Amino acid sequence: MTEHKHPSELNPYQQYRRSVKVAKSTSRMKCLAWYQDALDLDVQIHCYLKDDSGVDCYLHVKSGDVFEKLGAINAAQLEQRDFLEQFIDEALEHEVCRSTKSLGVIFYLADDFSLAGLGPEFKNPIELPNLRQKMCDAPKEVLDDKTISTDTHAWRLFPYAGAAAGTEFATAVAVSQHRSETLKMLREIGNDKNFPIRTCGLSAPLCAIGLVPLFATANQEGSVCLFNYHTFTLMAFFNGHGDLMVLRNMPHPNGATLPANIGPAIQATATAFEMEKPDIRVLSMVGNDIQSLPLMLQQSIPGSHGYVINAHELLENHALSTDIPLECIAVTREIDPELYPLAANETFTSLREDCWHVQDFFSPHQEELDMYPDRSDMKILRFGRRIRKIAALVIACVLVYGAFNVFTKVNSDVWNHQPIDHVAETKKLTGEIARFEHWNNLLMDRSKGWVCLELVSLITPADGSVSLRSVKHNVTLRKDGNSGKSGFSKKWVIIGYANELGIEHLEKDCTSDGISKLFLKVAQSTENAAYLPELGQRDITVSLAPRFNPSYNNYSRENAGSEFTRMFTLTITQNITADDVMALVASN
Amino acid sequence: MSDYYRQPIAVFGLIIPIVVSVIMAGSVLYYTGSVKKEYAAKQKEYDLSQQAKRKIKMLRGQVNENRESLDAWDDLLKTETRGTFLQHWKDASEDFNGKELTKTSRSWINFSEGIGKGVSQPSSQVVMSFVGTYRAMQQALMNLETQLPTMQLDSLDMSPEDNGKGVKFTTTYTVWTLR
Repeated sequence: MTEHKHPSELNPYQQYRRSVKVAKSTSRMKCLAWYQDALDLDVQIHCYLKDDSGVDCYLHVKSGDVFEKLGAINAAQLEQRDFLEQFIDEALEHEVCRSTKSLGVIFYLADDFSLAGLGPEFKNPIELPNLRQKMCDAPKEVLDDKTISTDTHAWRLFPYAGAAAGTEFATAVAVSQHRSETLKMLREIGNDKNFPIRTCGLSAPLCAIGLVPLFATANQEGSVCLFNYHTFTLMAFFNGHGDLMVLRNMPHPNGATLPANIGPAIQATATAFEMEKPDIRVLSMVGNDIQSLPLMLQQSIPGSHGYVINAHELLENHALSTDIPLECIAVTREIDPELYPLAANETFTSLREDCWHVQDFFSPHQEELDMYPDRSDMKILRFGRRIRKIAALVIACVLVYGAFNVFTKVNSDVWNHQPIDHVAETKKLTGEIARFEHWNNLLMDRSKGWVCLELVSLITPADGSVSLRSVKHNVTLRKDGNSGKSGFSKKWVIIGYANELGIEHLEKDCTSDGISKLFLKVAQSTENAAYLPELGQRDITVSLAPRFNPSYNNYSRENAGSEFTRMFTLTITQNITADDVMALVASN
Repeated sequence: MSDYYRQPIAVFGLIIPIVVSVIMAGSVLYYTGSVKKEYAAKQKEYDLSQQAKRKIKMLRGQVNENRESLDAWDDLLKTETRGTFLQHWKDASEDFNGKELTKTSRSWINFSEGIGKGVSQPSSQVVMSFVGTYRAMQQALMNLETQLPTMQLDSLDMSPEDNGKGVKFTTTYTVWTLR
């Protein structure tokens, strides 16, 4: 229901939906031809409207430089949509354009032409670009005559590059809007068929002005070109440089092929521009017989030179058939300034660059343009599509990434792990181990009587040179600071008798090294680690005090030890620190 | 050129999809992030649990390894009394005749003045005197100390017997007890 509504009646979302629908259901997003001018398209149908009877149509294919007559469409047929549709279908079935994706339809409007002056407030040629746009949008604001109808006629600006300062620098050109509906119908056919049909309504006389460099040269005296049409003759006045000074339009009396009093009219204008003997060139645009016109004009303007331009020759020079309208040369051919010097002057350079002579008089109304999104809208829409695709891809990647992550994590042993209280068991086991270590520490072989006796026996030589009188051994704990461990000391005090040999033995064995060796020997033979001497936390000190035996008696041996000349006291101390493995842990 | 469509296309075709996409992606990432965070916490808990399991396994292994010794010590500590101590002594001295080794005296005190003095573990102290040969004494002490690892020698005095025929030994032991 909203399809035919103007977008101003739609809400923003409906406007967006329409854009999307257009993008999906038409080729407007992909086909550039929808946004090109009719003259830029490869396949074109040129329709020449010389009078009310209808149009002659010509097929033009730019890429193949084909120009071929298609036939004529009468005035009634121009208003029949079905006929136009059928005509276009048949035209596009032509061999040279069968695969075309677009069509340009160019109307040459030669049936009507009128000129009007600009308002007195527009005197500055610098305003031309603004005035050009204003003339399209609001012609009444620009025209001098405010009573002129803008509904029945289309208005465009046309500049006079050769105008003298203070004179008119441009004029307003009007054509009847009579055939604009035909072009609109053609565009609608294109819309309905989803086939770009671009249209253009050109003023044939303006196109004809673009042909002037092909047959004229600059003349010091100035020149006048007459373009003869069915119902009017256009007069173009050029200055000594060949620049256009002014246009004059003269309608033909009923049924006549020439305007009445054209000679005096030209003379009056030429005099106004101080052109005494201008060259006068006459060109029949629609095939009227104008051979007598130059002679007639020479009588009105003595001294002037009159020429009739051969239209057929111009067409043949551009490799075109003689039944093709002359204006087609201006529209479809580039005029080389090197071959035609007049084309290099300001007037024709301006025409070429700013396309003044090929202005579209029947450009679509804004309401019609509003019905479809334009090219930049389609670009944004396409960009949005790409962005959405990328976004969808990113979201898909993120979803896959997220799902994979969540799935792997949720299904992992870690996620499903039920915490178990290990504290009680750990405490119990640790307690068991602590109990073991406690008892293991307490029950270490740190002080054993039989090992002590083994040490004493090893100190005493087996040759009888030493006899022991007493041995005192005791063990005392040594608390070192606050470490919670206790080292201990073992002390041996051995008193005995010895002869000189025994003393020698003792002095040899009871040094630090000697005692250490004895301790090592005890440790190895008894497997008692407390006697290992080389650990860093242990030290062994030894002192041997030999002396003469006071009870020595060489003759009587009643008293024990009286046969030994010497006595000795051997003191051995082994200190084991709190850092030693043998240290007692469970101290108070 | 029409300006009617540009803004709706930009809003509905570009901005809203981008915003929705960002919200969706953000939500997924946020949710994934929260799951990751929760997983990290669970992982930490799991690691601690595994660590605890490994520790318990290790502790069990250690306890099992110690079991035999600890059981033996427990039995010893539970069953040993002064009476059984005498029996051990008798067993240890059975291989020797009276000339080789004779016990002359024995006395007990309920605390230790030796190695056990600075230790929290309860202990008692036994003083024993013997007369005998050196090797018999050493052999007997080895037997006794092997059977009763709870004994730690505090002091040992050794001197010739008055008649010169043997050696007098006086030993003082700290004996670890349960109470």
